[in-house]
Amino acid sequence: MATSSKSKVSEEKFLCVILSDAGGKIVGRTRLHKLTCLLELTGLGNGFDFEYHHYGPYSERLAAAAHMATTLNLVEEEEHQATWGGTYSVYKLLGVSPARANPRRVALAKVAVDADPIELELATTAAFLAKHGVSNPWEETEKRKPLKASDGRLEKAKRLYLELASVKVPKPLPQIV
Amino acid sequence: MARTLVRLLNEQYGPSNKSDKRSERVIAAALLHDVGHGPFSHAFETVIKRLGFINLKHEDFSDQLIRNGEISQVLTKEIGRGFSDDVADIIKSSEPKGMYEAIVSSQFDADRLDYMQRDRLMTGTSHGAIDFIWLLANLKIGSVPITVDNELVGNIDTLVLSPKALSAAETYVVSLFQLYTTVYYHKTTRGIEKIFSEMLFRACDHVRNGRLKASGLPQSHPLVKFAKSPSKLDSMLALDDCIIWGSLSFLAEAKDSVIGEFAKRLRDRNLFKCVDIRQRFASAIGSAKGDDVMVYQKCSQLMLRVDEWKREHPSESHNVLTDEASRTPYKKIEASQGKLGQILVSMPGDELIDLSELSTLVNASKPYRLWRVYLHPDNATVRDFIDRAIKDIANGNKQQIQGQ
Repeated sequence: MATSSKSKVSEEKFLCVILSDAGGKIVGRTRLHKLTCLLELTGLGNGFDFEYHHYGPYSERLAAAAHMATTLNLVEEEEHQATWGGTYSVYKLLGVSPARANPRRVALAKVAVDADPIELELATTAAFLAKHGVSNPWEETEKRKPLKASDGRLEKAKRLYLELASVKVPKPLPQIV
Repeated sequence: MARTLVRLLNEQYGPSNKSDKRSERVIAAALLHDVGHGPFSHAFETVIKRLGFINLKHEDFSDQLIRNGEISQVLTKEIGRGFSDDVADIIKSSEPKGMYEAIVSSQFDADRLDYMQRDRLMTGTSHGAIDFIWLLANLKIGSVPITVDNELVGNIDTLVLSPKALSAAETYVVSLFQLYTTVYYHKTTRGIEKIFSEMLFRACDHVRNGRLKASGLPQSHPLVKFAKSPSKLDSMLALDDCIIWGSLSFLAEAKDSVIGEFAKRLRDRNLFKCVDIRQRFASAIGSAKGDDVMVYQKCSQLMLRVDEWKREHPSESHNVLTDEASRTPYKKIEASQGKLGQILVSMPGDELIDLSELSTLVNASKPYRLWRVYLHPDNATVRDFIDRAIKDIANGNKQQIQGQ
């Protein structure tokens, strides 16, 4: 895997910036990846490359940065018990952010942090697919995630998408709703 | 392999009227899921990514081929209308709909059970052996929750193991991991892949920017057509391993001397020298631990410094190729988001327990990370730069190295 030449700060430090702009804490690994993906799509990122995995857009480098940040004690990853029997991660920033808060990033992060994680996954997946030339991103999202898209969640994800798209960002999200 | 798994499920759970059709689709999906791979599979996908088509994956080509191409015509004629779309949907879905679909995508899917045995055989390694018969004999169906972080979405059926296969499951985890460290991440394999992708990237980049002569390729070469429209199915279909091997004689004569040199290196197996960065730092700071935080930190620093050096020395940058990768033997449950990505053991009362909770060996496993650089074997400048950078970072000296 090639090292990104676009990095402005080291990737583990940028993870600290994201956490800081998200209020110091992000609940769930999926949420972390989807928020970071949205930051990259909207021109507020640091050069993390995202690829489509089973759980939607996912960045190997972000996963490695999270591991490195916890190893270096920049970030704490707490394991919490989930209602479904497994555990989920909560990422907390230790210390201070290496950069000043970016109000646009803060605004986008606020919507993502408050969102239902399933709807956030669906909305980010649709944005990601649209960005990569899929002409019917919601239909494609439903095809790839039939269970998650059921019970009215796809419609809710579209409403969330509108909320995310309303945040003023350098590169607007694709108009797909 | 897929047929074996279907037979196994039918024996255990009894075929229903619907199961014939479902198993037919699943067998077709298992057979066709990788049909969209380009030449040299994943190595070529790296080239596509570097050309800026980061999300143009073989899965997308497979999807197009199954839904719209010759395959679709054959499936429609032989089996019926809509069959090819059903097969493509099975491959595309990240949520297997039931036990048959788990044969295409699960911890014990047909693909993995097949390649673990085949790659071991074809490379001749003694690593990576699994007790295949015993694993199959102890596969069962379990209902597993689908989740996103702390939220439950629903349940689906997938393949799990009975407790009698605990040792076989441990071996399966360790064997798959060892295939990575000894075969897929072998320093020579990775070194060849680096030269291969650099060479093809440069050639395609020249073509895309109207510098055909610099690439060395003739106008009508399939690689030229691919470089001009990488997302077109026909462009990809025209490529295979033989086309790439055949292109080496053209590429060896390219006006771009790097392409020429790399083509000759691949042809003559005259490869770059591998420097194991992690090993060098571990040795420099006297750490024998494979997961030393300080070693990780220094490797990471060195990679950033190499990137910087390459930007500052563009005419030399092709003489240093970097490589980073990691592999976790077994991801803990949250790391792979829910139980579907786990190896689960069905305990009495049908309770599904994660393998890492039952196996001390699996629970104790830690990620393996590699940091390597591949250097031109006769270039003293790059060798000196790397040696000095390692020494400098190992000593904690923050002074910038100019490298020349």
